[in-house]
Amino acid sequence: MDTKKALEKLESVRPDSQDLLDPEFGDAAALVEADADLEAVFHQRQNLDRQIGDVMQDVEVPVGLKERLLASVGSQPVVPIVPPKTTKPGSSRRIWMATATVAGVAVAVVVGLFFMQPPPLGLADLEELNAAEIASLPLSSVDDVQVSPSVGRLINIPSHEWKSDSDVYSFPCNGRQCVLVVIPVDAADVKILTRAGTVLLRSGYSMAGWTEGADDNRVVCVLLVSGDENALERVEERLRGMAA
Amino acid sequence: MRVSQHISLPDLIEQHYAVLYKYAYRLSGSASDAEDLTQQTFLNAQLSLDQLRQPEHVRSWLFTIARNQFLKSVRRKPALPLTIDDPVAPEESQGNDFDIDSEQLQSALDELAEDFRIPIVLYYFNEFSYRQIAEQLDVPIGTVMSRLSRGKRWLRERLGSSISVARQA
Repeated sequence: MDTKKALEKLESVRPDSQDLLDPEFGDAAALVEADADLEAVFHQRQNLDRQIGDVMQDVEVPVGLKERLLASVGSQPVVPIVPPKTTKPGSSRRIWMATATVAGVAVAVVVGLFFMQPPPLGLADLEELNAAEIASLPLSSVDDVQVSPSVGRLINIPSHEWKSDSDVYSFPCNGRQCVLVVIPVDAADVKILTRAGTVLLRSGYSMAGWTEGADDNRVVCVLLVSGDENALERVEERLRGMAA
Repeated sequence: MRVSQHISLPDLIEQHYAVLYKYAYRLSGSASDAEDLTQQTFLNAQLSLDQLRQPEHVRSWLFTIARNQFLKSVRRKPALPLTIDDPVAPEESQGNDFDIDSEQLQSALDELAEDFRIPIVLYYFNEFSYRQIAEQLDVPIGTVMSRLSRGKRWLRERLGSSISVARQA
């Protein structure tokens, strides 16, 4: 390793930290230690980094920001609705997740008959839509709709065949009952939701789905349901056929 | 194991809002954008709180949410032509006392493409090691090291004039 590469590598070392003890920097650190000129340059850069860091962090926080944040998110903690995770999917992960996604959408139809409480705050955009408009939303395209779980009622659902990381909420939507399903998935699994959406739409259900969250790793699906007691069976039947 | 039962959003706000705002400010360069970004970060955190499995990494988790939200809000800039080839960086021939102007620092950050700006800001916030930054950005550690090296060198050049002026004064 030459001195230039050593200095480049040491750019990742934070001043006043233990970073230099990381074995990754072993060669570079040894080189610096053996060369007084190189060591001087390294310490000078660390000194400058220290000062830049001080300026970087010297940002005035607006008065009242904390209070505004607290007001915006409410004061209720979010409580998970599903049982503790049991097992991780194994080699059949993709198939399993696809099945879980399909099952999740189906189960959501039933739990959607539950009642909801207070008017949602973060779902204003969705509330403005009628069933036809929701159905016309392209999947994975509603990036800007923000959904806050605290506004919806968390629904306890059977855990069998249900992905334990998923959350389901029920909320009123344009005078009807809506179900919101939040499903962690691999990106590729979005396809299964798209297919599920097609099947459901053809079956007369109104549905919209999109991805959210860090790295877009959650699928959010909104499904309008009616009070038909046989809805679940019919949807399950169709989805099973699709999965097969 | 799920842990969100033990973490409330008000606690998260109490403990992390200031540093998240500062981070958001340095990413966006605007006080109003930073406030919006901070608010959106906590709203998204509220949505995903039940998926937080390592409470000791909550700050990194919040920073990740803020970064993702920031990237959604901006149109990605083309990468800067960081092809500077100067084995001797400007400050290496200078003294140890510098006068770095916050606004000029922000201007320099604003010019950096997000791929460089984000790790640079994370580095200078001194919250995370390069390994943690790599994990947070989901990129190889070699990529983070390269971006830090090139980005910092570019930043030093941009700040070079103010440093020189400060030394002459």
